[in-house]
Amino acid sequence: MKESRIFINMSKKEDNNILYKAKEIIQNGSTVALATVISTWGSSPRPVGSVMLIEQNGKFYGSVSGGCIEAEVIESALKTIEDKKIRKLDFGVSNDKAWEVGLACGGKISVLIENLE
Amino acid sequence: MRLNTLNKILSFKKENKSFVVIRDFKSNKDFFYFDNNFDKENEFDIKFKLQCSNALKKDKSSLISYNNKEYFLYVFNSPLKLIIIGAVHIASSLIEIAQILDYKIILIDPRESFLNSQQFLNIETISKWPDEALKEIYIDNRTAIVTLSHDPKLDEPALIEALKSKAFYIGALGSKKTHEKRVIRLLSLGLNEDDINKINAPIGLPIGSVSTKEISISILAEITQKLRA
Repeated sequence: MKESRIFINMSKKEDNNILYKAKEIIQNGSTVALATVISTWGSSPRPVGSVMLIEQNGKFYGSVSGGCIEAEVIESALKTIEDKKIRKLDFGVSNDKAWEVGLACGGKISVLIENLE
Repeated sequence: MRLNTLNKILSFKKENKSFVVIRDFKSNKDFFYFDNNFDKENEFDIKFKLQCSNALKKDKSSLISYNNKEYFLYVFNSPLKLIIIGAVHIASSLIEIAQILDYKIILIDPRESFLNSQQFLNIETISKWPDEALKEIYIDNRTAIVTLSHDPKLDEPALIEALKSKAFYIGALGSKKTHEKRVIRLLSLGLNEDDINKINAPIGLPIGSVSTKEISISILAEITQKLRA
């Protein structure tokens, strides 16, 4: 995990404002990836439709979970920024990696990662 | 997501519209659904329309499959609104907590002195009789109305007007006894029992609140319960 590239920038602002933020980043000429919770199962801290923005420099805004999977989402988002490929990440009980990063709530989450272009 | 879609979302939000973005990740195409209408002619039928309208009603985004294709219904509802009658002491903590929950606040009190008695930030205030004021406000099913004044002269005309509206929540501050008397007056004014039962009173979930801040939490807990019911 490339910890050094990750800046903590948790925003109190809700998802609606995050989309305004996306516009702002793009207007400043920067590339940005959008991660969206597209499905959840069982208990999950953030509802479907929650979004997170990831900048090329690792800065992020918003959240897609209670903090359990953000690091991995950022890592994948940086790949998507580079290769422009849409990625779908599934986290859940059956996913070893999810336990690694600690999806403690016991639920399942699917996150779609794409570039804003 | 295409920048074009993002721009559309932001501009519809600015107009306080309720809408669903129908996202097809495979083809990277996005469509828009508004109350009963799509943005352009497309392959979606009535069944699909119904799913979009239900998603809006439930305020829930979701993945659905339609004609063997997967779509993501991304829901954007108009802002929540809280209309408060009575610029009394408890109003300030109720406003503060409601703002955390993203409610747009409209405070009504014909008594200018009450409106000026506290500093209310980022809200709209209307200094008119509550029933007149309510007639001028757009009240949809994302609106909650709460009477706090304790004064039947202000609260009751507001409640009567509120009951005619689409508001998803109507609540009135006051004890059980106060409410019993209120019910008798409203009945004598010709309102029927079914309508009167739509008023949540005594207001708030019973969590043993003592301070005005705690009462505000119990009111917003009840409003949330009704919103998500």
